[in-house]
Amino acid sequence: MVFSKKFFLSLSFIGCLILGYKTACWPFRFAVEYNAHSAPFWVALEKGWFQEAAIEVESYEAFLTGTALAAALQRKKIEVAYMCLAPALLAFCNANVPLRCLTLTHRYGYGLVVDPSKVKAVEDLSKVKVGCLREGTTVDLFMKGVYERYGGLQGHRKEEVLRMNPFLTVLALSRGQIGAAFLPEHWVSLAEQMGFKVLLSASDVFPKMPGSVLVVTEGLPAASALKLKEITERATRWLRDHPEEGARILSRHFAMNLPVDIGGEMPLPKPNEGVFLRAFSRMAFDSTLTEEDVKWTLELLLRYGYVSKSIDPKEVLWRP
Amino acid sequence: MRRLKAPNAFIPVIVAFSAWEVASRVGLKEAILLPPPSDLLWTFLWLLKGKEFLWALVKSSLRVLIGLSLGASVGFAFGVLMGLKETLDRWLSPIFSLLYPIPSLGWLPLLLIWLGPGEGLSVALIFICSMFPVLYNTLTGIRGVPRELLYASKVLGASPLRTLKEVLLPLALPQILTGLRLEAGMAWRVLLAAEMIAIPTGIGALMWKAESLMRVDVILVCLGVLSFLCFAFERSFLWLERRFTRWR
Amino acid sequence: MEVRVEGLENFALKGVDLTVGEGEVVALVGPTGAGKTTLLNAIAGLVPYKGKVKIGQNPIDHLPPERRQVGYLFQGLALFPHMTVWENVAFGLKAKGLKGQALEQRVEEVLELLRISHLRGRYPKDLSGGEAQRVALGRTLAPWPRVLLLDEPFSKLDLRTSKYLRTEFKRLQRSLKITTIFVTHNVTEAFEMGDRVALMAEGKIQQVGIPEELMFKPSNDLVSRYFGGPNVFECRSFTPLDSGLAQVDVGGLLLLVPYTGKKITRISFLPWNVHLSKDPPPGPNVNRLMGAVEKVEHDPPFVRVELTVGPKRILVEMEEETYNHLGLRPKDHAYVVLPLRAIRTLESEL
Repeated sequence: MVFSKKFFLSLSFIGCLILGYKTACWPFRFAVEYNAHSAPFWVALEKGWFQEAAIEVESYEAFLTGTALAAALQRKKIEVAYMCLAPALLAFCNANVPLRCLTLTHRYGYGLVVDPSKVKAVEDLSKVKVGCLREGTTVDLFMKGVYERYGGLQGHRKEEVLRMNPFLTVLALSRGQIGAAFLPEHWVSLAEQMGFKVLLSASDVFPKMPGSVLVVTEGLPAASALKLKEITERATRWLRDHPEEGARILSRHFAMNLPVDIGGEMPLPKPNEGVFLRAFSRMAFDSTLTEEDVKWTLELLLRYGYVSKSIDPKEVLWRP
Repeated sequence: MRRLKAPNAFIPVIVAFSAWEVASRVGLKEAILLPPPSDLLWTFLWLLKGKEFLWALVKSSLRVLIGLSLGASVGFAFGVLMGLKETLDRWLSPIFSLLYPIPSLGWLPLLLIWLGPGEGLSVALIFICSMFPVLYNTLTGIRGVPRELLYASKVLGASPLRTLKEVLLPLALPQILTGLRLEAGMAWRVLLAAEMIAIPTGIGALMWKAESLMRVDVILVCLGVLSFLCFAFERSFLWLERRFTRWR
Repeated sequence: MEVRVEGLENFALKGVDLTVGEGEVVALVGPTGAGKTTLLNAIAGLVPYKGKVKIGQNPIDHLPPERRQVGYLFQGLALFPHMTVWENVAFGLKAKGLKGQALEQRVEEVLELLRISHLRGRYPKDLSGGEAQRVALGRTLAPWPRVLLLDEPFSKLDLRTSKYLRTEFKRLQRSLKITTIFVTHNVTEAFEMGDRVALMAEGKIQQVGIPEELMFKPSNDLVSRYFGGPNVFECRSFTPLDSGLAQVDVGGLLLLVPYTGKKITRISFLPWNVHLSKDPPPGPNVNRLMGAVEKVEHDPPFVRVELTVGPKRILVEMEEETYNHLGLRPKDHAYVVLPLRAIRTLESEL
């Protein structure tokens, strides 16, 4: 039998297709925060856009905080993450986690929620215990911004700020253990639904505050990274245009992926569509991540002593 | 054959630190995840410049001192009373036997609800951590005094109070001080855990914050300082032990 | 002050009666478990009892130990390990309320008396056995006790130190004239130290008297056995010799005995004061006899060997280790040595 040139060419072509398919279908481990900013991921998953782009979602894990997610990135347990920009930059600067930010998902969306019987104005914060996420999170930066804006809140001691994850923060608020809470995204509207008042939004203090980003580990094939960026941007645009359906998708997925369950009972109400819809109204879905955004966040981290030196924003931004 | 001298205590430490320095510099482990000792020195100096670190040290040390003092005092008082009065011992021993085995940190959730996350919580935890061991060491110390010595004291005309002050307690002291010395380290461990979980200030809270910021260097410096503090506490009690038991 | 104990009863004592005259030393001997230490503890008020204890004419039963003014030297000495010698001696004085110059003076006096001034700054752990004994004695004597109770004070010392301290104590007791009850398991020591000796067994005083009474006129079998009953011999004749000695004929056996000028009617010696040897013993040929082993009785940790020496039967008691070393069997022959000082004589006026 004679093998012709045509035969070998066809074989090579099929080989390339397979190789190309395999490269493109590299299974990725995803991480998302249990926050409204993970909406683009859930939307893309539900709509099958990952599959469409031949991106295989091997696994996905929900983390209660960005810092926990950053730790998982650092341990190389995930390749793709939807997380707040501030913890991503901390991981990059302080722990040399090899990550790149691809695109923004939203701006602001954070809020100060208070017990209206104890706190009527921001100045009243000095009289109560305040709950907030841990140092280095975007919510923490928001809190510090509020303190700076309102003159350091004289008389408010460090001991009065209790650092907890958002679930425990809302729980503490509901039990009267704290009088106010700085919260992210849908947690703000969840607390609001429970009868607490949103005294301030992040947009009141930091206009254009970058919120969350899509992050990948360095070394991810450029083609895959580009696809992920495109999917996320598509999902972000979709959410801007279909907030109700987006809220429904999120409430369904969040119900399935509850991070906390004590003896089969939830001590807090489940976040429903209304909660997410309200959260979306405080967030601005936006996928333009600029060097300015990174620089702005880095300056805050530097000012509060969370990083010891600044970096060139280009180092952390993904470029094809 | 020439006998090998036991190495000076510092030499193994110096060797270990040197190996660490080289390993970090050479890149055996990512320097950012295990910074070399020389970098840690700079971090330590940087921390000293800021108020937060020193304030955290002071806070934690005060908590340990106050908690330990209160716990030791109460434990000592109960130990003496139970050692002297059998009836009291019979009533209290069963109750204490139930409470003592509970790990100190096991009380944290309950105390968090009862007292909230503040100074009271940390002091209460250390109080519990130190009270029982001091109580039992005092009791053992008192019961360990040979009966003949008590007889001698009585026969020589000493009142029960004088016997307690000049015979029983001085002889029980070595046991009590040994117990305290061992508990000082435990108190630090318990406090550290409480500060990481529930109390927003102190060395533990600082370390927890550093974890959030992924500052391994700060965590390591805090660990080093803690090691020194625990060592200093333990040595202080050892000095006290030796000072008051020169007769042994 | 006289000490009188009447009908003392408790878990170990079964009705003890004893009177110790003012300034007298009564040595209390008896087997282990007889109740000797319990008796001392009862007198000191350290254990409960029924009955009466009087010092002088005054009953002290209602008084706690700290008010009985009894000096007690414990078997283990009970020196306070955390106090120096000076502080130990001063303890009882401070308890009495003595302070300042008076306290210092008395402590120095006691230290001088016991010849332990040079030890004042030392801790008990740094003292030798003899030194510790003297310190304990000093502490006991310092607060002017009315009565002295000593519980086997010399038992843990080597022979030489023990002998030295016994002499010291006798001198002290004579000069202080302090009423003393002295417990010992060593009968030789009891005979040496006591004006009278009391045998206690089974929780009771079996007999009190001078050594001769106990040895030659035992009130019951217990007393007789304890003080070597079989080794009491009638003297057929005696011949005074020079240097305070006399030769006695105890019916076929000629022995040299101490002689005080009075007629010797009987002699006695304790079974454990007789030495046996398979080989000719060294030294002068005084009271050396040859005997044949008739019977060997094991009563751990002791062994009793009955020998025929001439026409007489002699009972010898020794430790098992000594017996095993000798390796004697019935019908074996052995040298029997009776040390002069071990022979007691019963005398009458000439």
